[in-house]
Amino acid sequence: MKLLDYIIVSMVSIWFVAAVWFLVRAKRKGRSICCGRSCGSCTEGCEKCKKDSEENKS
Amino acid sequence: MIFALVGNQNCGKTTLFNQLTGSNQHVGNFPGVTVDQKIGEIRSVKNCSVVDLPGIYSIRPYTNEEIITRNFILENKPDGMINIIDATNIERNLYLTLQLIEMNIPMVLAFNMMDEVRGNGGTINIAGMSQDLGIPIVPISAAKNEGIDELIDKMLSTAKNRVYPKKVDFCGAGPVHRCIHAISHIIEDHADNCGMSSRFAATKIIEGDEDIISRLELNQNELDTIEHSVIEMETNHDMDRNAALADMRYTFIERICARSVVKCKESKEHLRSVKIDNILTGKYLAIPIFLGIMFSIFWLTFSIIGAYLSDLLAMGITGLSDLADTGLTIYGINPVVHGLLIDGVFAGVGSVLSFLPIIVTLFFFLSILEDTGYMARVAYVMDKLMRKIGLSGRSIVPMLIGFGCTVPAVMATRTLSSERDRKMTILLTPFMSCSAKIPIYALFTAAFFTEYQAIVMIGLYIAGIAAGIIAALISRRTFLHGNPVPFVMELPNYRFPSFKSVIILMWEKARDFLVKAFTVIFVASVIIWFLQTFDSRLNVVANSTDSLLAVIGKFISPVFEPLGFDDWRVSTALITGFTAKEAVVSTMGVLTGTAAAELSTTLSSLFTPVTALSFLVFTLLYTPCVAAVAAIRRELNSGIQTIAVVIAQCGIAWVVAFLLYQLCSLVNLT
Repeated sequence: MKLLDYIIVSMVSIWFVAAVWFLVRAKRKGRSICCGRSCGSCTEGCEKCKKDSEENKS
Repeated sequence: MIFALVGNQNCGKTTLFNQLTGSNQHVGNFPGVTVDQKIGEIRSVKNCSVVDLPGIYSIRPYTNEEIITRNFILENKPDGMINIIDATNIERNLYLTLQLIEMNIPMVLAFNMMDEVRGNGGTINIAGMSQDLGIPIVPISAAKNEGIDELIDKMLSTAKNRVYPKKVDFCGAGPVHRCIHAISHIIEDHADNCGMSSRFAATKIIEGDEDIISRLELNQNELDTIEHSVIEMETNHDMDRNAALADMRYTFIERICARSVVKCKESKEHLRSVKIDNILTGKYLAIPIFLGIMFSIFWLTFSIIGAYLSDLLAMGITGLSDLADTGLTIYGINPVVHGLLIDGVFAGVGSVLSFLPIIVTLFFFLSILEDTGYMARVAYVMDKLMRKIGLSGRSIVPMLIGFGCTVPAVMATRTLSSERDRKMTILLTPFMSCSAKIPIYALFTAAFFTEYQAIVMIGLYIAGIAAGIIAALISRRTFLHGNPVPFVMELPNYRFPSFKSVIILMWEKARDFLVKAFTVIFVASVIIWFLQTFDSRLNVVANSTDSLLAVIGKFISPVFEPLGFDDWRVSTALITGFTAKEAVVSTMGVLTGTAAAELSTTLSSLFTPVTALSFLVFTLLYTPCVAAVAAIRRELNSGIQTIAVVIAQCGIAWVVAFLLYQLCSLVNLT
């Protein structure tokens, strides 16, 4: 294998891992990739919204 | 600090929310768009959030939206409330205001659409009304960003200084007054323990709010005394308890409006809307016009604008792929790496990306329809037809949303007050073809039905709706008995579509599509490429029929033999469609090793027009993606019911595709 082979495989692997991590993180936050990231369509109990709510309570 | 934003439907809450937070939450010009709370930070103010709650007409929990709003206020105890009302329709909006005042939370009233009030010759004595209600009032126009800074200042000072609503007795003298005050005295200590205003609790008890009654933990003696007071009120007032309370509130509202409001003439916008509605919602014209509009949208999208732009993009992606292919070949790249990049990434992601213009074009037209206010009319027009299948016109709203994506459509069923209507709508919504299936339809119709592309597309959408109707009729007669609830919906005035709203929605759809393409589709494409390149011992195969994927695909493909498409690659593509429907196209691209622009041609080796139609019908009807199934699971709150829905849909898809294929074979169509 040549240098470019390794570069391409590395880039695709990094992209793959990043995509999986993004999907897992979105799922944990209760967001649906299917329909966007606005909280209006996110799953009930979106973690970001909950966290914002807790932080801003007086 | 945290503020709750409360008001009737379609009074400008989300527009105000966007102005306060600088965000771009979707503002729909029909009721029921906001179905859950949304939180945003108020711009230029530190540590201050505002929560946009679903629109309600009363605190009395009749619908899920009212429950969400009521529970948020009771349980989260916001530092303040902003009650936004439509100043052009002040009497109806103030009904909710009186109930909010009873909750005794620092509160500011925002009179929205004041520009329309002034434009139509009306005036409101803000100071006088503020004194009558005992709360500060700020006139604003959320759409024109007028009065927002004053509103923010007033909100902050009201909350920081804990300025509670002044004690204003709405009841006047009489039986209702005596009843409310008697009950307030009885429950005062219980209400204090719950952190609730005793007057608010008293009115809720009179309305028979079981949730509030249980929170107060009253003993039987107290409950009997209260019931006696209420019966006495009903006897003396000669009205049932709910009517008596409503009468009390509206009498007060009429009195203060007579003092402070000079009514505007019927607005130009309203008069115009009435004239347009005479045509668009006319008895004989409504449905033909609706079908004509949808046909035009589909024709423009799939045959003209969207198709042209999509072909251009596909050519570009194919050109890029060919360039990369040539470059890598000349360089002497490893064949496996070459395959990963060209047959995996480019073929997979590229084949889906080329449909971006079609998606964007379709949503451009749909957002115009929605923004003008026409979608609300569709719900009204469809009510009569929906009742024939056991649903009200209210159910059309989630179904219309389902043409975009099933996930928010299923969530939008929360706006339905009847559990039966909700379950039936959840069952039907996946039959409404979502936008993720558009790449599949566009690919196959371009390959096999070039001259009739728009007609076949519309036919597929109509077939999905027809399947949903049949499913509704069957479920109504079997496990979802009953009649639909009455349908009451406010029709907003027609307005010119806002360029900003349309562009924002188009951008959001494009962004979501691109995010999905570069995450879900990319991951699926790489996995599919891997499985079709290697065998069980991780050796590179010369022929994909010897690969790991072929083993899996061949195991599944006999199921589809009666439907006419038993190639293992096709059945594998359908399985990957469970992750995302666009993955069906990307998988076909990867498995056939074809670039975006040539995929249509390659399909001719796998399908005939009849088997292509059978495949399209199966794709139309079978289970939605995993995200949609998860949303259904959440809304039904039952794993078993969700599995039943998935199995039913796959079964229906199989049977319909089978019948279609066998019928066409019988009449010798090819």
